[in-house]
Amino acid sequence: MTGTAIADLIHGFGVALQPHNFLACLIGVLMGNIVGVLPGMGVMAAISILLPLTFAMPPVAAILMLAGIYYGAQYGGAICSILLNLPCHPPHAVTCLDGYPMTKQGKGGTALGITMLGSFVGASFGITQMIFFAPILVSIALKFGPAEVCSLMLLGLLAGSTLARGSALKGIAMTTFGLLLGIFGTDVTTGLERFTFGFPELADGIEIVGLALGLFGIAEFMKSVNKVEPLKAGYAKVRLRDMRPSRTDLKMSAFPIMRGTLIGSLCSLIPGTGPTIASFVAYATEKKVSKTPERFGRGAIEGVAAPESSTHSSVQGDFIPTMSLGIPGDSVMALLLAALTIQGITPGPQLISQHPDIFWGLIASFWVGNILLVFLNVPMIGLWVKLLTIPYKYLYPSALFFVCIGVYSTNNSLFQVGETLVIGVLGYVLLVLGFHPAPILLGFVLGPRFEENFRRAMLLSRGDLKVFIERPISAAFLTVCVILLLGQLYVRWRSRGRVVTVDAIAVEES
Amino acid sequence: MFESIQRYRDYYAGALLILIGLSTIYQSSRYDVGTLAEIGPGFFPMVMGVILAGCGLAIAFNQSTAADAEHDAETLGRPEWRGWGCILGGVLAFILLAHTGGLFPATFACVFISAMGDRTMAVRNAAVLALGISVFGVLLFHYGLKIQLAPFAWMAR
Amino acid sequence: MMPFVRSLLCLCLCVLALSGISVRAQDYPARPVKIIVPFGAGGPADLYARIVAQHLSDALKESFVVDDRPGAGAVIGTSEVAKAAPDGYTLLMMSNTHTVNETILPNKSYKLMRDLVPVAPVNFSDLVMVVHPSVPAKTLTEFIALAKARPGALNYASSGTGTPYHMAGELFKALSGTDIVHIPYRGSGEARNAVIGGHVQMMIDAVTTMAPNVEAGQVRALGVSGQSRSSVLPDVPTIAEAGVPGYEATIWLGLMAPKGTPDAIVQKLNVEIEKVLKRDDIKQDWAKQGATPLLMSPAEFGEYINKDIEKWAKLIARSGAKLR
Repeated sequence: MTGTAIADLIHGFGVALQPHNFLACLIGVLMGNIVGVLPGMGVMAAISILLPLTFAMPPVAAILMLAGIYYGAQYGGAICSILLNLPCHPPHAVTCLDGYPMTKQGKGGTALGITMLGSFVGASFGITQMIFFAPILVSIALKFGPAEVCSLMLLGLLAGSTLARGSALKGIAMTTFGLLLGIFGTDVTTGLERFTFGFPELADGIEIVGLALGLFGIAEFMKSVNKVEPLKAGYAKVRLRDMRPSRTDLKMSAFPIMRGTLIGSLCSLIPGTGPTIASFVAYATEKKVSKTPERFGRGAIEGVAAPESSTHSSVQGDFIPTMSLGIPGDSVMALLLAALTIQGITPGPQLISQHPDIFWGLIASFWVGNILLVFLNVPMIGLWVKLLTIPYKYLYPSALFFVCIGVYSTNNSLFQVGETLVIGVLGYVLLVLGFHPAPILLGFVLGPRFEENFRRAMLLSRGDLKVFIERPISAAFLTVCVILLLGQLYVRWRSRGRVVTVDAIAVEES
Repeated sequence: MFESIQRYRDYYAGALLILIGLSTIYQSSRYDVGTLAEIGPGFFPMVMGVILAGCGLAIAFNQSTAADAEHDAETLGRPEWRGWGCILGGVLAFILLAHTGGLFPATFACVFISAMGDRTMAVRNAAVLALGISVFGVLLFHYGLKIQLAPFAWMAR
Repeated sequence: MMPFVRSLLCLCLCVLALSGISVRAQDYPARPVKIIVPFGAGGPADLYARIVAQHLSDALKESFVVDDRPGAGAVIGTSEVAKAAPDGYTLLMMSNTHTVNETILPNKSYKLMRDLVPVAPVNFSDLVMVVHPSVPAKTLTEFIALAKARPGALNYASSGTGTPYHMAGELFKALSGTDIVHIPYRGSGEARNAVIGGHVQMMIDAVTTMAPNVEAGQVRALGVSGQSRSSVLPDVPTIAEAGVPGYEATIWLGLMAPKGTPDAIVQKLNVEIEKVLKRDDIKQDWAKQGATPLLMSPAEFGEYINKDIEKWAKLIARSGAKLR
């Protein structure tokens, strides 16, 4: 099995390195990278623009190019999060939490360097598991019915509600608020429109790109306008030497990268659980396992390394159910499937045996593409960091425009630009009142899936709550939930007398 | 004004959550709650509303511990009406002009108005910035990425 | 001065508006034509719209631009076309989602046959009914017997409430007299996952997307939904021949224009679209994708739409208020 896989892979490299295929891959990742840096500019938009171009191309080149856009965009996505505190794409929102504080400490280059490293490791792992374990992983993923997904979401919510700094109560409140925002729109189970207040535009819910850019973009501009002291000149002078993460940085990120990668690859297998959920869960996990959780939110390098590697391994892993079952993990994958269908190739269980050129060529092109991306991006880090030398008063109006056009482009809807504005103002009010926006996004992402699957599980069991403990995978997740809750209570109870010392450490750090 | 918000922050925060929670409960009471076998669309929002209102009460009456407060305290400073107004105005201008005027005027207005929110910004500099971004924006988004927004509305009609 | 300028402007606008409406068909199209697709980018409606647009651009020497306006089960994009100027420069890509919406969304801002005129149909695609291999039924008649023996015990998945796939399932229940519980999913991918994983026993989905899973033995095909067998799965009988006479449920696409669009332009577009649909390469390519071109005059197409609206209205009235 392994032997043939390697032989096939070599064949795949032969396909991927043919000049026109290589060129297609290069164009794809380049385009993806550019789109990725632009706030909100969806991969969807980019792919649907290039789609007609691929009609005339041979199938292998077409799919290589379109796939390249998809994973290429993820490399660009972290740059604005880290340097400008602007999450260009939802999966990278959580990277802002520690990436931006690192920039403020003059370590933006290091953060970007670690991101590239983590991304490459994550992606490589995602590809490797696609080569060797795809069939096993698919059979595990198929065991996930509504009850299992529901318990997993509950675990994600519990782990994530302590995502941000500060009061746990406020974190829970914001997660719940996010859950509430998530159910705006048409109820999947009954088709009823909820909380749309008479706007047909709200029937499909709040657009996640708008939510992220409102909460992190517009609210942040409102907070910073006229208040940002220019960053000290030295911060922007980044030499190649500064970008290379130091030995300590590497040591600190090694395990977070590994954990993030594993989480990402697990998330990619469960249908409807894309990179956004993966990166949030990875961040929450890092904070949970860290011996010094109080460093998170103040520029902890683990808080950048884990979610980024998780995003990338999830993005590559997303191809597994798509290619081997013909079941797309998200809308971008659905678009890729459509592109293949146009070429007269239907992805599914027989893709590997019927079209080995496409399958192995695609896998080989992932490696080629990721290596290209690292070569494209590492020299660019210096250039990106130069962004910081632009005075804030020129930066924020330009960024505001990119936010507007980015949100518009996701659905060609000006209503959603307005939606983003309202969310931005609300986000600013919440900031003033001492709430942090990150858990809102988590609740928003997990909430609808939690509700849907809970109701679906109940429909299937005809109202019997026992399904959650009778099914072993679900029961296991619920057990972890209980352990997590008890642990949290225990820590709270024990630290009652130690508040002062924790406080002292925190003050010392800042 | 801001100082009082800062001092009584948790009261305001609690009150806001209670408000959101109660209006959620009110709104979801219009949807069917259903039975366990067939849970209705009103069930989840109802639960969310109760949790939010509960959190609000707890936050208002259980002031943050010193450590938490230190974490939460973002320095607020003075209210910044000009900056806020210009940021909102910039986005609104984009929304109003994108279809009626086209991508170019919408971009120009958005960047120009929001740039004027900075108190050290000169009108000339704002105009130059807006012009630059508009040209770049039209080239990149209309011609490059083929976003369906004409540079000027009369070009598409 | 001002009133003069204003009246001059008014005059100009009037002239412009008049000249816009009195476009002669032989001059049409004189500028780019927009085809609004009220569904998501990359879906079948978007893809076929792009293919048709490409060929129309070549034939009429003027670009046909596809503009995706997804949202609210196609209502957002459709109401935009309903409000657009009836000059032939705004067209709508529509499907039987629209005919179902006529009944399940009575409060939307437009009425399909009141505010729009039919131009031409594009194509239809067959659906296939599949069950998980653990279901003891090998044929459709056995499946119906099984469902009748255990009313309310079996489940079927769909890609969402009110979608044509859901309607196809409800139609099956009504015509076969069975009671099967509908489990809605978010999109066809998740629903297929549920059936392949055995969490739900049955579903009805597009032939092309399901065919590979059928060939791999992950699901068992019981019948296809069209009037004749599908070229993608030629061994599978139609549901009508296998035990539910009169059953037909496909996904079809067509083009409409705002009410008041000059008849000459509608006719011209219909003729040009028919030329595209009759091309050999189109027929072959679409056959691989499970789609068959539909050829009708605007009047015939209008009749077709009306019949479809009526069919779903009757079904929804019969199957009860379970939808909303």
